[in-house]
Amino acid sequence: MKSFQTGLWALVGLMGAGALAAIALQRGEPINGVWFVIAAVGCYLAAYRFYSAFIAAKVLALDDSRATPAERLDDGRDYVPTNKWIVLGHHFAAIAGPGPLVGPTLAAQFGYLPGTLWLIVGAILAGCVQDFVILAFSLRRDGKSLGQIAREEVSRRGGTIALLAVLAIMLVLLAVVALVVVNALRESPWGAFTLAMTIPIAILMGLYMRYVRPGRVLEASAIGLVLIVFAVVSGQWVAHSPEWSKLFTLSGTGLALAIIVYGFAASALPVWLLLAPRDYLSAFIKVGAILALAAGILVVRPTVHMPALTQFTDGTGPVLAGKIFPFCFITIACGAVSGFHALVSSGTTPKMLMREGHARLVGYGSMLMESFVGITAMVAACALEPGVYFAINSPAGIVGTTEAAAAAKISSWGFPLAPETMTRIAEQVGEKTMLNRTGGAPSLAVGMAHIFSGTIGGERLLAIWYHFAIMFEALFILTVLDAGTRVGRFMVQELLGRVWAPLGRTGWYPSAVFSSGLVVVGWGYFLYQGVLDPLGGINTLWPLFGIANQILACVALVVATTIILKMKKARYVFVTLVPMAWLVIVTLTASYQKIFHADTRIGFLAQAGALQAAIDAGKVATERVQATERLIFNNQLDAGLTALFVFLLVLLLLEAFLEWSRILRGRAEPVLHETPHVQTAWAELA
Amino acid sequence: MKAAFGAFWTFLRAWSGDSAYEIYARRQRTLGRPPLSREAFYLDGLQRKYSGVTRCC
Repeated sequence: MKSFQTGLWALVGLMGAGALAAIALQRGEPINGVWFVIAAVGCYLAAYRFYSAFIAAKVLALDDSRATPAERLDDGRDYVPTNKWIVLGHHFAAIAGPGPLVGPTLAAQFGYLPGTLWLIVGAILAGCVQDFVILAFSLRRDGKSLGQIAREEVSRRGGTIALLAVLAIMLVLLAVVALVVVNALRESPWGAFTLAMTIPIAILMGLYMRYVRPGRVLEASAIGLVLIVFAVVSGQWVAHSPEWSKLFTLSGTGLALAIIVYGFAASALPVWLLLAPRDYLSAFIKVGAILALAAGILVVRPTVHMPALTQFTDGTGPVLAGKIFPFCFITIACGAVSGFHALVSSGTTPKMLMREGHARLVGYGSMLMESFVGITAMVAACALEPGVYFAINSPAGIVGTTEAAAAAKISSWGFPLAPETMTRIAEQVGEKTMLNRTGGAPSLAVGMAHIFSGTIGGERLLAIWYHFAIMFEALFILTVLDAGTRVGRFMVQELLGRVWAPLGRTGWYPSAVFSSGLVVVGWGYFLYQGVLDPLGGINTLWPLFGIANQILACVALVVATTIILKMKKARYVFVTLVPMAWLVIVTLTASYQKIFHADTRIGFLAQAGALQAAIDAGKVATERVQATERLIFNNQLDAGLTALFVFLLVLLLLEAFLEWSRILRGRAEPVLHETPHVQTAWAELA
Repeated sequence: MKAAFGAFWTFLRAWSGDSAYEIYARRQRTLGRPPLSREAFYLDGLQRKYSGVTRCC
């Protein structure tokens, strides 16, 4: 029976590998999107069955007879024993943000193949492994955070490096996701109105859950969902009304300022009023929309029009500059491997698990699900005609600002596009223009709208579906913005508290306002520079975010490798060492190129130098000199920030190498900081 | 069918946090401690939840 089951699983894996081979070897003819689903699911199932089981048994030696923190410390608040499927749902909702949707959409410029392979292989060998092992190690340390584990198992400096890396990545992350929203909603009264309406809706829900029916999340969410649907539908009336349309038509800078003010308010206001209800609403819509997208792909079976590989693998891509290596691997972070997940895996989740073995389903399994979200985004983006994809995602500085200019330019790349195609698409989705809508969200929304309308409503509902998709993306991006700003505020307060104790008191309002202001100014500055960037901002900020996120993954994998060595399991260290080494190579190469590359679209210093040379040569109009000098400073700042990321990573690697050397040479008996083994009292679970 | 719906409803309430207070109050009674009011528990839970990283990118 056992060999039959093993054979069956092997067959599933072979099916996935076969579908993957079909995708990889297909040339010249469009391929159906269902192949992507079969390839991904087949590979995921086989990896879960065999590789995660190997890690659980041999590397981590998960032991169901050992009481988990949720059992030992059960207080019904922080530590709550919870059914594994509910923890899986919680964990998935926590890790799945805009990253796995936007990253693959941007990476589609290389063709569908590189991104798809990285999403599947990267998740199986790196992302899932990172999430799983960090969750398991935190589980054995009473749910301690990554920073605390790094401090105890690597070195005190390792913990500080992790904290600084988290703060830096947070600022870049918040800026880049805010820029995605700005690019999706600029000059879009329908979209801006819908998103604006989510604020009073969230406040209404907050008041309901605070004063009317405390803690009744489902009732409040049901009210919120109905109102959100009404807001999406009524957005078209706003767009068609001359007065209202004018009110909600915002420029990029106007939207950026509005989001900065909103971020500050959401962080400083009581959490029950805006942040929490928005988060509840966002979680429901997020999970619902992702399930609907996956089902839609199976029903519509869209044809993937993007070629397997485009000429932009050579680094000349209009969406993001840089060669396929290393930039494909930092463009897709979430969905393949995301260091940020290590923070969630070492946060609430380990305090909910009822037995150690559940870490496999929750840690490895939920990352597989996120990778699948990335695959659906890739299919949605590649189902668009490539000409349309590039017209939406290319900045004005490359394809121009008119349909005719963009069509001529993009057609010259070998992707035929008629000017009237873009006009028609804009009309279909209820927008003035769909040109130069960089950031990934609008093209993903067009792809999703086509898939949804192919399932329900046809072309008649295309505009509604498009704005639903935009609202869905913007809503949970703003949730990340709210929650991220608040966490950043606590980190800043922790640091400031070391200088002057009262500033460290999280409940002291002046300190909360001051710290929130610092965090908002931090990400707000990067957002503002992204909006002013003539190359669209995403070209600069997304790689920076990818580098920061992957460096955080390196930090997590360094910590995991150290612990595996301390567990005297050096023969299995490849499980974390190989993905760590790969990510170190990718991030260091990308960082070097972002700082020093001679191409002005890639290298920050080259761009700054070229702008300075233009000023020196008198080629910049007098009224543009000040703005150009600001661009020069921004490029130098980005170069400095990238260098700081590299410095932190190299420092941590040196710390870790010293520790590994001590362990491997046997100079001192390695000390593991696990909580002692306590036998579970839940006999039926053991 | 009814059982499946019941299981789904239980899952949904637990996943969304709708049943968190009932779980907490039951636990407090087991420990012989008086539970907080539903409102106080809700506000306390939000403060705890949003003091750390709860959402990824």
